[in-house]
Amino acid sequence: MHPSGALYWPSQSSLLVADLHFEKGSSYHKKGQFLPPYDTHETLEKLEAVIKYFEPQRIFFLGDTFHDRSAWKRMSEDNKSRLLNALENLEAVWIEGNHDQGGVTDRFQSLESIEVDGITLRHIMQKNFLGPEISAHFHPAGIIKFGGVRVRRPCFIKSAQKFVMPSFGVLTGGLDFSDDAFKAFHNHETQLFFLGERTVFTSSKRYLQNIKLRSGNQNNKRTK
Amino acid sequence: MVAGSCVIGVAVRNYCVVDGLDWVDVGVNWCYIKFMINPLHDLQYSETLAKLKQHPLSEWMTNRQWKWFPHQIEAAKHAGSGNDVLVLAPTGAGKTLSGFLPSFLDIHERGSNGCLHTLYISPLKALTVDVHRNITKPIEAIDLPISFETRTGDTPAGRRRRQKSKPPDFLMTTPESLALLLSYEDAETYFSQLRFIIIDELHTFFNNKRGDLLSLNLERITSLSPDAVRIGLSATINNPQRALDWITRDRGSLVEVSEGVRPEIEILEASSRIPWSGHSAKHVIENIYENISSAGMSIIFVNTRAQAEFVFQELWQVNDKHRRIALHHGSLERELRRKVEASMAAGKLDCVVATSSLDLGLDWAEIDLVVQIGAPKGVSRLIQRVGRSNHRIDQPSRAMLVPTNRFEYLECLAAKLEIDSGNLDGTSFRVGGLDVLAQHLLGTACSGNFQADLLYAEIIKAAPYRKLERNEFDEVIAFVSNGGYALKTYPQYNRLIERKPGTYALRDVKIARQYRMNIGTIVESPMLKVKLRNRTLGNIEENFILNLAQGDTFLFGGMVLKFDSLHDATVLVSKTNDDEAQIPSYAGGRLPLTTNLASAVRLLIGRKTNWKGLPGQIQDWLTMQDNRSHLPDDKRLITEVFEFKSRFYFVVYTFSGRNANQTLGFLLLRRMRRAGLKPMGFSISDYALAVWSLKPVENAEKLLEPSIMIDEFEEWLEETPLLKRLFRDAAIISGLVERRHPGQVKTGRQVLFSSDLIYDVLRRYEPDHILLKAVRRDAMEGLIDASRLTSTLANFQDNIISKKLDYISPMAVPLVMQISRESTVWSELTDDIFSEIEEEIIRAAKVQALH
Repeated sequence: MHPSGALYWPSQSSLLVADLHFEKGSSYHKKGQFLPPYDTHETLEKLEAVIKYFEPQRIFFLGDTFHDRSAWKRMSEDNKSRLLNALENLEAVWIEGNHDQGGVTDRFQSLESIEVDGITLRHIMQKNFLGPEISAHFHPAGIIKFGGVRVRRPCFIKSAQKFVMPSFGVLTGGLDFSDDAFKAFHNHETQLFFLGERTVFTSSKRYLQNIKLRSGNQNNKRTK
Repeated sequence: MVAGSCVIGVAVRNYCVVDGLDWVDVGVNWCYIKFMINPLHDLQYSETLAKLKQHPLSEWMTNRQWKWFPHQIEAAKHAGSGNDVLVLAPTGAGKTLSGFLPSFLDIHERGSNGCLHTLYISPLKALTVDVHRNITKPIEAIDLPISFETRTGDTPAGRRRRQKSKPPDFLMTTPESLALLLSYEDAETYFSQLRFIIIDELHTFFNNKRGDLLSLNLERITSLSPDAVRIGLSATINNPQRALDWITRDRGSLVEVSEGVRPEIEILEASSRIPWSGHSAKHVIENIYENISSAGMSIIFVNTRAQAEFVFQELWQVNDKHRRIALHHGSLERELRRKVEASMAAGKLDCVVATSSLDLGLDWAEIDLVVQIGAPKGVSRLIQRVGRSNHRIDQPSRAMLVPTNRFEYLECLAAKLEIDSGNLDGTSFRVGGLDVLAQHLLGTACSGNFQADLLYAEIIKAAPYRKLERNEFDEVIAFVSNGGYALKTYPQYNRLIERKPGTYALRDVKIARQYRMNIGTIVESPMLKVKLRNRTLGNIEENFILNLAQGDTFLFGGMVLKFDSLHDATVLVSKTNDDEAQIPSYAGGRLPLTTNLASAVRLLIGRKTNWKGLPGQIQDWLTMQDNRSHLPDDKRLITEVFEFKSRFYFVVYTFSGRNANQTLGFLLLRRMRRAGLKPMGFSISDYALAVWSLKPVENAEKLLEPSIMIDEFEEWLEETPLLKRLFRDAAIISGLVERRHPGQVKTGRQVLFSSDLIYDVLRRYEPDHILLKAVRRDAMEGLIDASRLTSTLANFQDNIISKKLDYISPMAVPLVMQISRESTVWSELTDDIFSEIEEEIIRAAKVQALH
């Protein structure tokens, strides 16, 4: 697990990244909200750096790589060629997400899911799927105390069978781990790995206990 | 600049307010007034008086044996002749009527023409409603054909539509609603016949973004209706000329009503010892209770919501006389607050514990006693609060100050002395925010095409924007138009289209709708609803709740509540029978000590001749400080270094307020780290700052060199989360990101994007972006308060006294206690443990004699 939010799989010499949301900034311009349009460039730099660091043979994009279906068209030529150059010597596997369903360009063939070494990779975890699964989509994050200051950081979630990736894109928010979406993970088997500046931090037992307690009484009829 | 303004001081004597209304009996007859204020047989006076006499209101007043007030006639005279007026008067001096009178006379003369005649703007919705109620009473009684309506965020949609198609003669509104009205395409016709604009509680607008927005909108109105006269109503302030300059177009008159009788302020004499630290007032609850029991209606003001909750709870514990005590603070649900207010007005309560939520000028009821618990933090603020008990100006208001610790005692006494000698806090005026300007430009575009040159000329007439450079204005236009990014834009999505060179139009009406949802300059940190079964109790800050685990108890709305769960932005709680709870600690509500009061405290401490009013235990404390270290005064900056529990403490008595001290703390950490002193942390109060480190500070002068405001400050500014917090506000105000509206808070599965991320990206790619510039400017004041810190460091540069001590100095004891309290895990902190720590510190400081 890399503090950038990427996951390296040594036995497969594979790198996994999720939720890059390329061109998210510019997608808001349509609505008249002018977010800085530099997120694609920034995310690309991050991507280049992790590829250079791990030198993988394969890279898996776990969906929502592009923020919307016209994102490829909006992407500047410069950024396009940067992306293609970065992927030049490796095999890229594109899994589609809800944002880029059906693919954004003919250049990349995208899949709904793929099984690698007995582990299923897909964008959104499937509730009824019991096998080992790596997914993304939720942009998990949580609040940790860091030198006395409370900060919200993205995190990896790991339980016996499921693994959820944080988002890799620079302009993507996070969903707090206490949210009902992560209810299935609110138990003692789960471990969280928070992204720090330089390293990844493991959650303490107490953290999870608190989370569990907070959302643990959904059945409490008295409070509706 | 104000040309030809004149100042008239009018002595107010012998009047009373009847029925909660500002109708006034001057106690003299018409002739007397004429003689008193009109020795030169001024034509305008006779005209005004003639108009007044003919007005039905005069008869109504004569029937009640009430008379007009000199300053009301003054205001009517000036405004009647087309000049702007600023009326400065203490609470209850008939100020509101002096604002409305010119308008009444005018509309009586001309008759209503079905257009908007007068606009009344106040900072509070509640005040708007209150004034509406009071002012319509006599109008209805004499059946004048004038229509009055209010319009705020709470006004039902149907009435708003009607107000647009068929405007009332008088519209009473807030700055936000005004901005909304101005953004409609028919704004020009809507405001074209406007004659008067009354701005109430004007002093609340000088130093915040809301005031920036209001000033811009006033200029907008003046462009649409050049003859509309502005009338500002304000509490007494220390620099009226600047206020006049802020409000008036080009000429204006000042009508100043001198203070009535100075308030009688006493400081509660505690029967027990005054605590070293903390803000609980626990030690004097019984004394406070005695006082409110023997008074009629009383208000207890506190500084934070947490304190309000605590005091309320404690009072009920000792309430054996069954007094009717209620609670009022900003986190409580509006309905609950209105209920308390109504009960007050109806005389059904004996006492209300309130925060600044009750600060502003509503006339709820006849208050006999105002109690201020904790430090007043500012002289003007204290006067305002004390003025709540001021219903007869010939009798002094009564107020009681309750210091909760030793430093607060000094501050209370200093504030009392300042009030006795008539010194007010300096009113500060800010430079207009660029984020507010961006919002305003978009709003202007929503109402129709604009020409940049003309709009620029209009904007620099607004006082906060007088110094706005043209290139900055252009940058803001670019920002509004497409985000203002130098490197990359998508012209097809521009919000503004440049039709002809310099003429801008809105691309799409959808943008106008979006804009109208996002008007305003108040950005609140995310609040969550607190729900007990099906009852909504109010709102609480998200951060506080995220700190709790299930089963933790906290005080809210006067109840001890147990936290059950968090569900869809709602905090579900249940009631407990516990007496004690962990108290909510709110981030907001803590105002820094004003500069004026800070120097008054310095003067009080530094001159022994001023100690007369201090109780023996405080005098002993100061004497001991004088003997062992040095007393802070108005000329010198005192620093101390001592060791406690193998840490070295470096204490600086800046008296610069908590915001500036916090900034200095961060900067000193950097500088000390660099000097190899291994600093560990710091703690602040309004008065001082303590940094602790592994190695002792040897050269305090060097550490406090003003260059710290350049070298370390710039570095720190780049990293501080405070700047990100300011950026979040600016991003919302400027329209870069949308406001989160109640209800839609958690509809999306995740936060769409965080402004922190935008900030990082922007800083990296466009460090000179206009919004970053705006934020850096905001940082100089307020939260970071760099300008105050800079002047403190520069003023005392050559007058630093550094004391090396063997142990904690008497004056540092409160800070060291605070540090121990802050650095202990709260779950482990019980009263017993804390008193143990306290004992230890007292022994180490060798101040048992004071105990």
